[in-house]
Amino acid sequence: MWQKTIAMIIMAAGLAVTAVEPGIFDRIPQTAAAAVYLRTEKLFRQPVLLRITDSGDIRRIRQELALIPWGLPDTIITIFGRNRGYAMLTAYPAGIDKLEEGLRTRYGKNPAWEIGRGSKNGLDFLSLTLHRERKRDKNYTLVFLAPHVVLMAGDKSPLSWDVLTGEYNRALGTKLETMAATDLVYGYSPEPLQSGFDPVGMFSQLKQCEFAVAVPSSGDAVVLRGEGQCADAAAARACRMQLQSFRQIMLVALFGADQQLFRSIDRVVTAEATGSRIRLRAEFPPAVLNGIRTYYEGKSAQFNAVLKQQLKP
Amino acid sequence: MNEASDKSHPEAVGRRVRGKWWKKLLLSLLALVVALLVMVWGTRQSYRVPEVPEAWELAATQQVMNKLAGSLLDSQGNVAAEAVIRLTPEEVNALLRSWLRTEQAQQARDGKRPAVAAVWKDGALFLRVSQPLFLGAVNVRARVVPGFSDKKVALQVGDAWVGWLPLPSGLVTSGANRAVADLAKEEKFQAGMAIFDKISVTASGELELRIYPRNIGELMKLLF
Repeated sequence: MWQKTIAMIIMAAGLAVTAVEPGIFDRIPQTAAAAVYLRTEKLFRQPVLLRITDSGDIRRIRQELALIPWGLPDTIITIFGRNRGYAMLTAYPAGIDKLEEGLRTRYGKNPAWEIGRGSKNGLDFLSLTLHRERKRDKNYTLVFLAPHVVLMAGDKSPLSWDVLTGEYNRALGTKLETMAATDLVYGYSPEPLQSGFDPVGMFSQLKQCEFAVAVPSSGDAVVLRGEGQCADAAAARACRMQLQSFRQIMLVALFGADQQLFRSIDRVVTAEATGSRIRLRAEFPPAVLNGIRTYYEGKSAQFNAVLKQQLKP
Repeated sequence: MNEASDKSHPEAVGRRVRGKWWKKLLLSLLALVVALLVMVWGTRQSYRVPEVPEAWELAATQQVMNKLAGSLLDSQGNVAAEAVIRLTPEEVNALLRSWLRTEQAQQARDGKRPAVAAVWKDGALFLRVSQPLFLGAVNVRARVVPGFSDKKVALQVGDAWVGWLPLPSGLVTSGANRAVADLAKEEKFQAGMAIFDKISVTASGELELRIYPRNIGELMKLLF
């Protein structure tokens, strides 16, 4: 009798499991070489980040995302390789009919937009095309990998249908799902050289890597941390050297026009190698974050004008 | 017998001679076109670079990044106003391969772009382009010495061939520079060039880049 009871419990549990609809963590295509999980709503609500980005961009993104009635859903950016591009994977509980209706309400009246619906390889999809004068059309495809999981790809992130084989990388999903509660962004790549993160192979010594962005409980700083595994200590030391060069180039590219800000950011970004592992850490205190905000708010228009002036014949 | 139909009549002889002259001209032109086609038209070339960079490429690219990073700051740790980087042929070839790999991927996607091969050797860029045409292709090869100063790109093209047909270098150089001048109107090209003060080739065949480190942020524009 007890054997039957156990069997029934197992069967019921099995049915309960199969009845659960797959979420975004279950629908990372098998061929993904890297994935980045964004706790989008939490990320966009962070006062410290809002202060940096409240110059308008965030508001514009929010307007575009008004299609999503319950707020901004968490998103996984899946990266398929150096030439494959990436795709956004998002939970959309309202389903394909509601999304199509929303798209038609928002873009249907504009003749430049063309909205289509179809099915391929057993997957329903919506397509959006923006026809532009004297420029190539912009195309977006929204594929429903599960009833409530949408994958979005566009021209700038080309994704061929052969990636959508119906096989999914649950291990990568589990890795993302177990990210720290305080992290707002978490990325992991089991094969960085194949992921397209590093198109020129600057960090070819890396065997796997992960990174995260968090806002500590005090709420007024931003912490960036990265970690990578190399084959041995010598490879890790070489990789650390590359990381230092990369850090230098990026900091000069982003903040090089403001010597003081550059120096203050340069001080908070550190890279070290321990055994076969390398670590990157950057903690941006409020003063530095305010500096970044002022720099971008006040200087971007000026820099563009200077550039145009410099290039005048 | 009718005069006009008499083959020995002077008018009939004149018509025959004129007819032969036109035929000869047409045949000569046709032969020239066929000869040109034969000389210009060739077999399709694929010119593929390996999808995954080879070990020497990775090492060379890392050296370029280290050289760039090392040149950006002055002795006081401030961002330098100007810097000079000299790239060895191997380093230039590693960067070229990276660009070719991107082109290769684009070509695989749309299938329309020509196949391109590029190698830096003896202080010049050796370019090969294969543009598919009907069942064959038009294959072009040229030796290009790049230069940039006073905010202008100046290419010197020599030893240029379309198939088996040599091209006059003056004509190709002016054509290439006109094409670059058109390209230079694009914002992304301008953003890329804003980094450079001067690009030249040294006597030892290295590519010398004189750059403005404070402008390298413009490279970010190329990503979007």
